[in-house]
This record gives sequence, structure tokens and C-alpha cells, in this order.
Amino acid sequence: MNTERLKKIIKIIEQAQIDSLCIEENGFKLSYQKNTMSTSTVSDHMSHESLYTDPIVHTSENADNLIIENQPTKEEDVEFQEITSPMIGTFYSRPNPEAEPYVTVGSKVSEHDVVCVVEAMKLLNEVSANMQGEVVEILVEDGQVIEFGQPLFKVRGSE
Amino acid sequence: MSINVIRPGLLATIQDLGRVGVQKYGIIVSGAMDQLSLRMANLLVGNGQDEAAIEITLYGTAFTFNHDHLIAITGGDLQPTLNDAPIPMWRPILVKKGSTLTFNSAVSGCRSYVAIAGGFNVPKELGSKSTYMRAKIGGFKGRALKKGDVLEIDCLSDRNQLFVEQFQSIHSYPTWYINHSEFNSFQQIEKIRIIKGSEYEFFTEKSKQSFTNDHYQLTLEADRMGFKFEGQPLELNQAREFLSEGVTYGTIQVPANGQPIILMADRQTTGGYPKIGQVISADLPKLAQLQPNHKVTFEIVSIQEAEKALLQLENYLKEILLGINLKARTGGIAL
Repeated sequence: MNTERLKKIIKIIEQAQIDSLCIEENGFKLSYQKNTMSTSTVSDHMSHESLYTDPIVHTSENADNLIIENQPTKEEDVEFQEITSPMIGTFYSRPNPEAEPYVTVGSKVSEHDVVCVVEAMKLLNEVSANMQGEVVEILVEDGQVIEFGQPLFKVRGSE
Repeated sequence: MSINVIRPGLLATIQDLGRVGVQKYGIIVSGAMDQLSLRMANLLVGNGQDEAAIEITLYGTAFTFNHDHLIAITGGDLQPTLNDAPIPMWRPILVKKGSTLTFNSAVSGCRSYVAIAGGFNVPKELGSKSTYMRAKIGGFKGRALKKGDVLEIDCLSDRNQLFVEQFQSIHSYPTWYINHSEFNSFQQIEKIRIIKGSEYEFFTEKSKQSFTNDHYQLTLEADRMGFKFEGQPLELNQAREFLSEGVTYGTIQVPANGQPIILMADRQTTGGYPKIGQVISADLPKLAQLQPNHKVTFEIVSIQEAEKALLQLENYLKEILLGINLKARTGGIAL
């Protein structure tokens, strides 16, 4: 199972009217749950730790170590939330090249704060935090092409 | 539908893309100094790119709106406020009847453009709404805006109407704006690309060196007609006389004192000073946004590179148009 094939499968699942799926092939197991409350994982020799620290698709030389993590799980990691991209485009941390970044690690954000912009068709789209908390990690780089739903920031939630 | 001028500020004029095709009669072109910003402002409100907008210079201009209007502000950042609250630039904004739009002072760039859906209802003179102040034609009564002027707005096109409806549903301001930084920048030192002028080879080697290696500073003698720069003097290798010939936007002339002058939107139609260079079209927006005392460095490029840059600029505008069409959900309604 290579990454490309995996991405294709996930795309198909996302567009289809199904909530969960389980595929087994040559000792490779993929289980997918669409519900935001649960985890989507791909594994056969999966380390428990990396499951909860790696965002989205993580690949290594060994296909056996493929791990996908879209959402924090119910049981663990409730402390952390992710701000995801509302669209496909190019990620920029600042409104223009001369400006300061909207947020950096340690920044406190609240619901309506703009955290970054995503460029598509030469238009910059502001992305709001939609949550309250502190930015603990920026998961993408300036100028990186990002996909719909891709996690951009890891935020430690606060009530 | 109209807007009232409360304060004209330093200089505010109505400008479109200029009065082209009549230079042969000695009529200057005029038009917006930063045509890219003008075109983008028009795109944002659903106007044709060549519609007239208000060009505001450096500070102090204020208007009130007598009806609800869809507007867009582009160009230099003159800290615009709407009813004293800062308003964002480079995006469509619906302003309510009775609102006051004020331009405070320039934090970056020199000229802002305010486009309004429908455009300004002023007569076209020789094919353009641009203000030619010295000849007192075009724009609003052939002059800069004054306190108390009432500017009539044209009826909305189907496309304008669609934009208004689309952006009416948005709670405050749209959360998207044009990425203007590819061709517009508002630095204190700008790199301006040029091609060699027809008299380039008549300058001394030392002058040619200075021209591309040194900074040239924009003096206070910088208006819509031309920008005078100060730096290492540029000298001819021998005294020569030249016949006057056609000049254009961005032509770099060198008079006897050796200090370069770049011809801008309100330039004369011909000139007899030696021309050391010509600013490439794609870099004119940057040049137009220079404030006095800011500096430039000149970089010589080939005509091919200049053309490539211009094509890139036009493609960039096309992409913006497509993007805006998607945002405004124009469907099949073209300009």
C-alpha cells in the first residue's frame, strides 16, 4: 500500500455517503471512521505514541508505519484541538510579505481571530481560529500548498 | 446616487486608464498613476477595469455617501476609516447611506484608489473620464475635487447588482482580499526594472555604472507629471543636441544637470532630453506609489524580460478576475 493509493482511497471515502470502512489486504489493515468524535487510523505496526502526535498523513520509508490522524480522540488529547484549512490553497502566516505573522507559537487566540490566510486565485482568504486557546504548534510552512481540512495549527483549548 | 466631498485633502482627482489615441494632437494621456490598483479596485466592485475611480494622494480626503454603495479601496495605505473606524483595503465593502470615508495619512505607498459600483457619472472627454488639470478637461469639471463637490454615481449594471446582492449577505466585511504583493509593493527602497533608452550609449561609462549601482532618491518635485530624482549625476560622453521625440509613461530623461526625471501619468507628449532608460510597464505601479524621499535602484533588463513581466501581470489580473467571479457567484454574467 503506497501513500498515493492511500490518499486516493481516503478521497473516495470522503466523497462517498458512508461513515466507516474497514479494508484488509496482505496483512495491511485500514479502518476509517468519518465521525469527528473518533479517530481515523491506518496501521498494522502502530506505535501508540505517534498516533497522537502526528497530524494528517505521516509517511516513512516503510509503508508499514503509515499513520493517519485527523482529529483528536475522545479519550485522550482532549486538551489539544486543531485549526484546519477551510479550502485548498497556499498557506501564508502573514497578510503580506512585509507584515508580522498573525500568530506565533504561544499566541492566545479566540473564536474570531484571524490566524492565517490561504491564497487561491490570487485572493487571500482569512482563516479564523473558531476556537479559544493557545497556539502550541504551527503544522505547516509559509508558502506550503495545503488541502481542504488539513490541520494548520495545534491549539491548547481553554474554556 | 451621489457622494459629497467633505475635504479634498492634498489632491484627489477622478482618473481612469487615460486619454489614449490623442497624443498626436498634443493631448496628454493622464489617467491613474497606479493603473494596476485602479483596475483591481474596479474588479472588486464589478466594474469594467477601465472605469474611473478617485485617486487620493497622501492624506486628508473625506467623503460622505448619500446612498448605500459598494466600494473598494486599493493602492497605498492612507489609513482609511469609515465613520472613524479603520476599514480594510483590497476587498469589496458595502457602505451605508450617511457614512463618512476618511483618508488619514500615508503609512505605505502614496496613492489610494476608491472605486464605486456603477462608476462616476461624469462626461467622457475625448474618450476618457480622466482629469487633465492643466487643460481643465475631463474628470469633475476638469479639476481636482473641492469641498462641497457632489459626485453623481452611474446606474448599476447587472454585474454590479449581483456583486451588491452577494456581499450584502456578508455580516461585516468579506474575509478575503486581493493578494496585491506580486506587482505592488510599498517599500522605501524599490528596485525598478528598466530597459535601455535610445540615448543610453551616449552616457559615460561612469554614469552608466552609477545609474545601475547607486540609489536615486525621489525629491519633493514629484507630481502626476514627473518624478525628479537626486543621485550621482549622469553625464553624456560629449555635448549633443537631440531632436524632440515621443515619450511615454516611465521614460527616464536626463536634463543638463544630470539628475534623472521619470515621466509619469500627466507627462507631456514629446521630449528632447536624452533618454537613459525606460521603466518597464510591470514596474510602473511600484514607481507610482513612491513617496518623496524614498529611493530606487535601477536594474536593466531585456525587452523580452519586460514583455514577460507584463504578460505575467496581465495573467495575474485574469486570475484575480476569475477568483472574484467565483466569490461573487457571477455565473455567466460578464463585464
